[in-house]
Amino acid sequence: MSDSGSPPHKPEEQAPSEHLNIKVTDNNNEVFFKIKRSTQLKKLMDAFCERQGKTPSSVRFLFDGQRVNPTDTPDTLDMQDGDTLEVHQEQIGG
Amino acid sequence: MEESERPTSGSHRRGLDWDKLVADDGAPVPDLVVTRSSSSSSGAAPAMDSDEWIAGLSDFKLAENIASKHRTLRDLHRNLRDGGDKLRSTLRRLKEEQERRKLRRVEKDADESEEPTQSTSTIAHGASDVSRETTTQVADRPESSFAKSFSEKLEDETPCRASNLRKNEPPSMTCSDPLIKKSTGKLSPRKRKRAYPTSRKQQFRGPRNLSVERANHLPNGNRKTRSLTIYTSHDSNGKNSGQFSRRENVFRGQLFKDLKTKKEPMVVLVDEEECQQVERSERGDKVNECMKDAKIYYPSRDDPQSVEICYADIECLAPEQYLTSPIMNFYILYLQQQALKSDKGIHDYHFFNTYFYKKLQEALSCERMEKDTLFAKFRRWWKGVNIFQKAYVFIPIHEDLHWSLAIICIPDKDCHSGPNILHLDSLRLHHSRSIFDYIRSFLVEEWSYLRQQVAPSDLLIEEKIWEVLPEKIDDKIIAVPQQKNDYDCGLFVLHFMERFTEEAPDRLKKKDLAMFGKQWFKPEEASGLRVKIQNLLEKEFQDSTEDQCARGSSDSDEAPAECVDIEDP
Repeated sequence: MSDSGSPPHKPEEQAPSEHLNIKVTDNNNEVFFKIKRSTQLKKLMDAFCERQGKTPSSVRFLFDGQRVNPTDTPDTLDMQDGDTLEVHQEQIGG
Repeated sequence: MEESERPTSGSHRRGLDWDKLVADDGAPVPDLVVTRSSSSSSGAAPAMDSDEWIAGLSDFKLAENIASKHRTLRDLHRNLRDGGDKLRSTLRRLKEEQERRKLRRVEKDADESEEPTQSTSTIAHGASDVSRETTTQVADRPESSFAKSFSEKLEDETPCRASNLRKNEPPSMTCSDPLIKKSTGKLSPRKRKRAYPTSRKQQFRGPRNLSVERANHLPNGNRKTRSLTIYTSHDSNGKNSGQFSRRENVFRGQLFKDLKTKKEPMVVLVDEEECQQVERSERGDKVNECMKDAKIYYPSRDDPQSVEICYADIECLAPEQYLTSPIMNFYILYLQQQALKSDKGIHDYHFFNTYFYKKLQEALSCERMEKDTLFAKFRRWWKGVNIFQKAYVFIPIHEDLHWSLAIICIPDKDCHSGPNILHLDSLRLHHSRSIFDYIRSFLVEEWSYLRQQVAPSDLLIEEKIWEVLPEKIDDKIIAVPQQKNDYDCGLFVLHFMERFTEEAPDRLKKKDLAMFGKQWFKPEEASGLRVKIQNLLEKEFQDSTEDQCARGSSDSDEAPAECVDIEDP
């Protein structure tokens, strides 16, 4: 897993590989996915929920603090190899 | 006197059952008597578990909610400062709601079987003490006297109450459950019978016990005080509650219609709003189909900041429900949109979403080495934003099932002071000190990062303060209006934001803190947001759904497509 935290990595990574390794984590579990740049993230989100036994409606997927749309792809979000998709439980309070 | 009370239309077999039931009144009377009506059995036969009944009947959303509360409670209660008491009380109320709905259905069934069984509706009134919409009459009476007056009042009051009930009852209930409807004819006599024992029980055991029989895990005394409190606060909001329940009815109506799909068009109309709905439902079946899984993206699908809201998310705006993050984030974005329009210096504000604070805690609690990499990634949450150039940074705080708000105020250059962190909590539940610590660390992290990147001349903070910024960070717990209940904190946070963006000066000075205080606004104003947000969302959904259906798009998962997009308001 390369460290994508620093911007200089960007150019070299962006060009070649067709597949990206994306980590999906809800803090307790980490699941790694290999996904094509052009594949909709819905696939990955569903797979994660299924594995963890969660209903997709009870969680929110965030990338860099922004909500991830099921129809987004790594391309549209400009994701890099090794990036993390965070899974947040819905918060509730009164 | 129960006998004299009973409508004469019933078969004498029922009279028989009743007598038997009277005989063993002390023990919990099995609801199940009901199912054995054909064989004139006694109350001893546990033919049908009432829990199964509930499961079969209850609005599944409610059930889902209860389940999720259970989970949260199980997983988190040790971590909660109050040991999960608050959560438990919500859970309890949810369950009571479920119980109440069940009771209503029973009574509705009875109603539908031509002879309105008076005692049945009385039960619902007495037992569903938490059902604000329908029970105000009972509510007004002191609890203790209720049981006593119950029998006396039964005769003269029930007729009018029964009719009241019909008016108040959510229209949705009439068509809420296919199960009930299909079996109305067959089941109602049983149910009526079932109702009798229950009402007896109620008399003997006091009105409150019944509704919580199964639902309540807490000691009874505890619960009583609790529901009493809720009552009081509710009564003070009497005016609003009417509106709430009406709205809620509409929503429920729609939801239930979704659930039952096109099975049968039998709908009992109770009030005008429902009327409109039914008219619409001719072409409406299609609309409702769409509504079920409807999602909207606000402000628009293409907006990178957009929030996704499911139709079901609106449910948390029902009376006394806790607000959830999608609703919070929606309204936070809505405020930004409004501010953009009004041309107030919105670019001087920065709003973090509700997940930020939790993420910040994570990032800060790591080891030093890890923290740097983590923070480097975390920084992408506010990519391109220099926090220190903003006038105000809003951070919603979510912890222990409670919402509060932190605001970072960055002063002007001529102010000769450093950032000021404010904490606004409508319940004083959150630990301000630890919030200040986290946000202070956030500012210091950000400062040490920016110090290498940004020339001091680009900063709005005075240079000599910038150099020693960590020492200059101030914090203050702000006295703000307090919520009078345990469910409006989310609304208070949103209202704090709204009022603050409207009233705060371009840059906050120490003296401006006087704008706050316990009298800043009336608590009712914040509570009123519930309806406002509900209306906003309702409209958004209506617009988007109509669009969607008009275009006849199927609800294909693969392409939720542009049709659910909404325009900027």
